Amino acid sequence: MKIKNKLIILFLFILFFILFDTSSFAFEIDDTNVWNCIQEALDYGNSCYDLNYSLTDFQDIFVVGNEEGGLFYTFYFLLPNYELSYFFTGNSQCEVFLKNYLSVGYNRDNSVFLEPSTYGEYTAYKPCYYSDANFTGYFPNSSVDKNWKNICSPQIDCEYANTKRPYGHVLYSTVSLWYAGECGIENPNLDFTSIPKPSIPTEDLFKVHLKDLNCEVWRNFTIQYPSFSGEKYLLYLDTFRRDYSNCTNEVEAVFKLIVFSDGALAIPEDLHSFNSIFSQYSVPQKYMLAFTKNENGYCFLYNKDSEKIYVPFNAYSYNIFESKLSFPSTSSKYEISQFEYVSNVPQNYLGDSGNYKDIYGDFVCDKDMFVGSNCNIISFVDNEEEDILSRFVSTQILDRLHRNTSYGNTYKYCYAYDYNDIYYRNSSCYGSNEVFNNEFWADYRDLHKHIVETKEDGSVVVIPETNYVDSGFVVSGSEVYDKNENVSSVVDVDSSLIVFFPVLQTPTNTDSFLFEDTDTGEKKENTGSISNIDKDVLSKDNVIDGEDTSSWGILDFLKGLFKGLSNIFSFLKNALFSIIEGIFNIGEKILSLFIPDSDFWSSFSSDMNSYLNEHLGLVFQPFEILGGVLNRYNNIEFIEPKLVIPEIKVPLTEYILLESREVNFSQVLEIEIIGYLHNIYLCCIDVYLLFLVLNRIRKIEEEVFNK
Amino acid sequence: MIIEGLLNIVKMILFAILSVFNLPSLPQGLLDSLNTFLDLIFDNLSLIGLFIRPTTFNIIVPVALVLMNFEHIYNISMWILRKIPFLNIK
Repeated sequence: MKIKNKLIILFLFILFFILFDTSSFAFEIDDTNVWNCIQEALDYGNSCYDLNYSLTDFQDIFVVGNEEGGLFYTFYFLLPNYELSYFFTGNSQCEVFLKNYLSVGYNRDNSVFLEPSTYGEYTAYKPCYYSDANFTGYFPNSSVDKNWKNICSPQIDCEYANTKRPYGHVLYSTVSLWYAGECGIENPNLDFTSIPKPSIPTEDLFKVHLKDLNCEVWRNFTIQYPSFSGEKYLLYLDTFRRDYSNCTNEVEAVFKLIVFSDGALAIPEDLHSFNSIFSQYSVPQKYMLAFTKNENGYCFLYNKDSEKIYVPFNAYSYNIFESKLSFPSTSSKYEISQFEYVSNVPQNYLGDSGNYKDIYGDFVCDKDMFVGSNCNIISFVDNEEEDILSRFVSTQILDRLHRNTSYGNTYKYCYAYDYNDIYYRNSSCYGSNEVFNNEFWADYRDLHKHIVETKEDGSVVVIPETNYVDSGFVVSGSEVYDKNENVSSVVDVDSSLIVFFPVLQTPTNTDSFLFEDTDTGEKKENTGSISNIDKDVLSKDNVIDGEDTSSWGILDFLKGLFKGLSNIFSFLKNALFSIIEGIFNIGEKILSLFIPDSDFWSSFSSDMNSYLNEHLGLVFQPFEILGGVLNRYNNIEFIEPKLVIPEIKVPLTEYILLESREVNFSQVLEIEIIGYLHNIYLCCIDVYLLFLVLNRIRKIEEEVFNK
Repeated sequence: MIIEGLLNIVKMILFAILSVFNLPSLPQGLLDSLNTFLDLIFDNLSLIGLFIRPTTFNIIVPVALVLMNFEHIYNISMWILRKIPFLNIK
């Protein structure tokens, strides 16, 4: 009987430890190789960008890998003020957004690159480990923890990485603008208040040929941009350069997007020489735009100061509001009257705090989705009070984005906007039928005429004196590059189509692009890779549902056949998933009959708590205090060992006897020898405690079981 | 929904009974002092990280609690298990 009892107790013990939530320990990294790898990545980031971060400067570190794409493996070092949001997008995939981080990535060939942190979007593939909102830490069980040792042999060579990777900036800060500085160093502490006040605005500012700039000039150039007169001040400024070639004199493919406080938006003349970016930066209080959503899923955009509210589109989510989302993919001109205008907005649309910032909105035109179909919308709402970054986007779109990016190719999206009279519309993008050929077309014919002006020399600029002073057209993309891939874009002469295509090497500053003033017919020839593009393909007449029909042959027929079969299988797969999902849904419904949802428990307990507190007073309060103690214990964070001494006042007076202060011991532990001894001490303590536990178990065995 | 309904009924009954009582709260000064004291302790608990590895601490505290009260847990468990006939535990 005793043995049986022991077995039962042993079973209970095991059960206890299984049920015991050990998730809080899951982020511990025991493998020293991993730490070495992380340290190595950080050292790399420090050495290449003249930074001086140590691991303790970061709140968290996590590692994300991409199973298939060119981006193999990236360390994200999250600064203490980092912001991370994640979104489940179905199929166990996550979309992650980051701000304020340093990232270092490794290619498949173990070369190192630094992430082109725009607004820090990254897609993590399944399995998805962002399991709760209190995300912290590192993902030890993700698919990327394989082959640590292989990965931890990077070629630590800044020059190599810089030439292989087209991007250089590593940090992103919500309160800073891009600050190129020397060798692409960004100053994360630079905020808008430190920018020199405006001088005389000149058009010339937009016309600087960047190829003439070296690093120093570049820095000055960046600072001068906000120097606009009057009430205007900089809202956003984004610079982006594809290759700065180790700070030689060749700086090329720079894009700057500037939005001023009165809504004016300016883009320098090399508008089309970039392939990415509209990033959002700190928005001063004066001018705020926000998306929010009412219970029907409608989207609103408002200017906080003027309280003008616009409804730029009829519906929000492709999934739910498909019937209302109607952006015809034609090239016809749109009138502002086609968009709804609302002069006031109910308070409840503004959120509880009524205080939004950092809003980002655009159309996402995935190639597949865009062919004869609808665009979609992404918007970010960063609530200043709650510090939440939200994203609303359809699953279908993201699936496609994942698919594209997973092959190291690009997806593109385009959008148009006019910040004076805010409205949105699709920009009629067209795509080829090939999913992974990196080609994507955007018809911007009408936009071209409407919101940008073509100069006589063929350059496309936004000029403040025109009626469209505050308008802009941006074609953006986000790429996951293979090490040898890059993407460039041109504007086709005849069709006014923007064409994106991959180039096999980093473009040089000799690339130029085709522009056309459709009124004068004046053209500027392209000297880059435009000749590789089949002009017929660009012709819209030959594009039916995005597919080129001009030169169909047997191969095309076979391609069509296989595509058809692929579609059938895809349909069957979707149908199967729908059935399975339906079964699960029924199960969930039945369960919900018996098991209350989490909202119920929280409201139930808070009701009970408040009522008992109110009526039982001092009888109940000890329990409440005990609950508070347990709660505090649960929330203990061992981030760094520090002694916190609270402020001590003389009772009944305002006289402060002792100021509050903190004594942090972590710096002491950074001293190598002390850290080493401390580790030994901790190991001894571990062993001692283990011994105590075992001893106690032995005593229990004697006292309880042998009674 | 079923459990939810039952719990709501229990809550209503409990509230009805408790509405008779209206006991005073502990003095606010006492609660504040207590909170300050708890803050002082828990704010400085991160210091424990100097002396014991946080992971070890997180594991050892619940284990210690279980071990210290093992006899009671054992007795309760056995009491329950003895109620299950087919286990045949005496």
